Amino acid sequence: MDSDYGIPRELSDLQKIRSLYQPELPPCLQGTTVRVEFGDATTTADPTDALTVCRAFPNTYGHPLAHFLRATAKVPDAQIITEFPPIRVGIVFCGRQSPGGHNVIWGIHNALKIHNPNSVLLGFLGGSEGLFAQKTLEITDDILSTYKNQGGYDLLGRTKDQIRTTEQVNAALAACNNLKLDGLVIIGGVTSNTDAAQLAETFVVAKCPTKVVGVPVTLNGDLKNQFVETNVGFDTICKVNSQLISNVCTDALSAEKYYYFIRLMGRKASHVALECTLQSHPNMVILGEEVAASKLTLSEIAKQITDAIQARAEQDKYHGVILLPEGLIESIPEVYALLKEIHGLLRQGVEVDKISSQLTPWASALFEFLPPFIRRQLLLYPESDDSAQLSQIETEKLLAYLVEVEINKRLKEGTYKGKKFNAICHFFGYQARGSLPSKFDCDYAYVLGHICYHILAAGLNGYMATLTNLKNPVNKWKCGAAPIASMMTVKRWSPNPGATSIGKPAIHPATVDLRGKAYELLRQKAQSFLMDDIYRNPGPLQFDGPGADAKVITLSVEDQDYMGRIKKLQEYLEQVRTIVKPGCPQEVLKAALSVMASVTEVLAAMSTSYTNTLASL
Amino acid sequence: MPVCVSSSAPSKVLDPEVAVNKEEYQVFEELGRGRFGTVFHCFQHRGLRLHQNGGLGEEIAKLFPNLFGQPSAALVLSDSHVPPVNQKLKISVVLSGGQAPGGHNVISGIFDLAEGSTLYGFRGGPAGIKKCKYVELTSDYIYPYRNQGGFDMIRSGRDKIETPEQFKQAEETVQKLDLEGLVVIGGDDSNTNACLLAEHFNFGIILFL
Repeated sequence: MDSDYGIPRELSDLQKIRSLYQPELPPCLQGTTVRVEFGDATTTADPTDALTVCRAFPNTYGHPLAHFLRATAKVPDAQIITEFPPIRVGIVFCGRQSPGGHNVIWGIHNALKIHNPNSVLLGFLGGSEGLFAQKTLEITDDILSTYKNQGGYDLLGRTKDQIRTTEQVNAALAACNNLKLDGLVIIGGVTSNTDAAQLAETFVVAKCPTKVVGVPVTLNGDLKNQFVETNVGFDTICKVNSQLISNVCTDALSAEKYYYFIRLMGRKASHVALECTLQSHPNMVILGEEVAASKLTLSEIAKQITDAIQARAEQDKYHGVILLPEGLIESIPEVYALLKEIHGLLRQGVEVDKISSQLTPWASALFEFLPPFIRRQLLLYPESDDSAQLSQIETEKLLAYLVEVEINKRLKEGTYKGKKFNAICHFFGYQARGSLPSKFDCDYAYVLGHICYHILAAGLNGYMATLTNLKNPVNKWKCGAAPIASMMTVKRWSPNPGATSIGKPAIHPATVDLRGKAYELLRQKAQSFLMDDIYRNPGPLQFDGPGADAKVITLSVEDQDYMGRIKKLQEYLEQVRTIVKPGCPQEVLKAALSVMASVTEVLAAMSTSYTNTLASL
Repeated sequence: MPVCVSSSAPSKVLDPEVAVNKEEYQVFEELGRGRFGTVFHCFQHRGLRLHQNGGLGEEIAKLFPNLFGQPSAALVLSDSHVPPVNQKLKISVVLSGGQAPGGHNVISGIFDLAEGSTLYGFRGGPAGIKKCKYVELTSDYIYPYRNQGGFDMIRSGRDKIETPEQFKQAEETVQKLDLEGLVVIGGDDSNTNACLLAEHFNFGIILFL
């Protein structure tokens, strides 16, 4: 079985052309000399989480931001790395395959060999299980040649997406020690990078010299925070899905008699659904975050959709396209609670066919209300990140069924007088996940791979490679690294009212920000999308021409470049420190004190206000 | 006699020697000046009533007495420089059956060639013929659909025209619009229906595409 990894492949003409594409590097990474500038110590987004995270990660929390600059950058105190001894690096695919993952490996391999041809990159075969079993493949140019700019994870494969239990962590530690690794690069999403942070902490305590580095690769787009703007794979998934969705829209408009319910892969959060809606303009999208915020029930969601269908029917329209994120089912509070009970019973070892009789009365009532096909799917064992098997739960069929029931009810009551409701259901997940990566994802992943090398060269542990200013061309991208612990939050949740429960720190999936610009854009257009059929076909994934450099809309509309702004702020503070020195004129000192006092007061008030806002949610 | 033209040209007509051999063909009308010269509708003199399968042929001949046995037709280059006839026709198109990528370009092609003529599109497929729901196709109307997918330019439908009442409805529509031709764009069922229409109407040109 191991011989199936990394084998040369027969490529189509397009794949061959793509394998020859050479991504560009930002100026700061070109050449063999890179400066590292360290910013201030980092903290968590929510100040109240800081203490908990610090306690859990005493050795890796609070470390400074790292910025990678070109050698000629005029920055005092920057550290220039000029010596590059040969190093041994392990790399492992954790998390589900995501278009562009192969280019991370290519990027780090390229950087390693440029700086010292004697450095070695070992790929762990079969993901985390390969790490535990110490099964490796040395990465070479020959091996990489048919995997550059290609989709999937079949160069190395993946298995269980977890490095968490004591046994697993110990196996990883043994592997790194035995293989004498200077660095371990973990490619994955929120769960994998949480595990990476824990591993980094464990290695410090165990005095293992291996540095752990995380890379934000996940098609879900949910590893998103002040340091990470988007994820490798998200761009591709949204573009491919948007073309499929818009083809369905054209089909709906041509026949004028079907409603299409399309569920999109993307785990718990609705980033993929939101982005695809903004790209393809379907009639409706139900975001999991809206459902959770409004605490909608299944019946209320079905009613919402039926109201929309009725509004269109009154304009003699009997077709439409409705998007659903796969995480929607878990965002419905009543279903979420039902799933929690089921998963609890499953973990106790209760047999599947006996679970329904052991549910609480209200959960049992909801369970009986659901159609048989959904019941079977809700009984599936949860994923390794403790969520339901979202890809296998056919929420689109459930909602189509409930909508049909509602319409039939209105027909009898006489409140609905339109034509018959016809629904066709789709799940778009695996089709897009296996795509050739987009030009953006090829570039982004390759550059992240290079940054991994520089993190290791700088001797950093428990850091994630980051790139900011991504909505601009590659030559404007800013390269850096941030401690993974600073991206963590602490979820406080307890099934029993009154009981105090402090959760374990982790990188939790970022939800769609209902106060963000992308969501605001959706709200502005929602009514027009619903009624006017302004479907938009962005076409297939393009590698040349006007579509090749398109960026996802949620990236373009947001004000990002958090890292760049932190750096800018530091520069201003440094200027103030330079201008206001002992011996400066009295007027200058007074002005500085006055301004700084005002700024500090405003920031303190904002910080307090932010905390209170979070507390009230 | 009604005239039917097939879009699938007999391969032998592509032979240049045959193409310029006028004796084999009777010139019916010139369609206009194409890229390679004047384009004619040409027909073989010999009919196709002699059928290999006598039985089946006889059955079809009974059902389609006006259409059966007509010669196949092909467009060929003309070596003459006769100026094109300034013909102004009233033609309509209908998208029938399930949508297929490229259907819009059939309409664009007709529109581009039928310069000076009036081109209508029936909305919603054959149902549009029955209910006389149509739109006049203009350059502006067609523009957003060039090279685009779907059948949403004039929509589509699966209705059939087969009962006497339905034929009457269709006939009223054709008379109202004073049509000289109808283009049916679709698959096997649609073209069967087109053949029925052609037999029923003793008029103009019907193209099966």
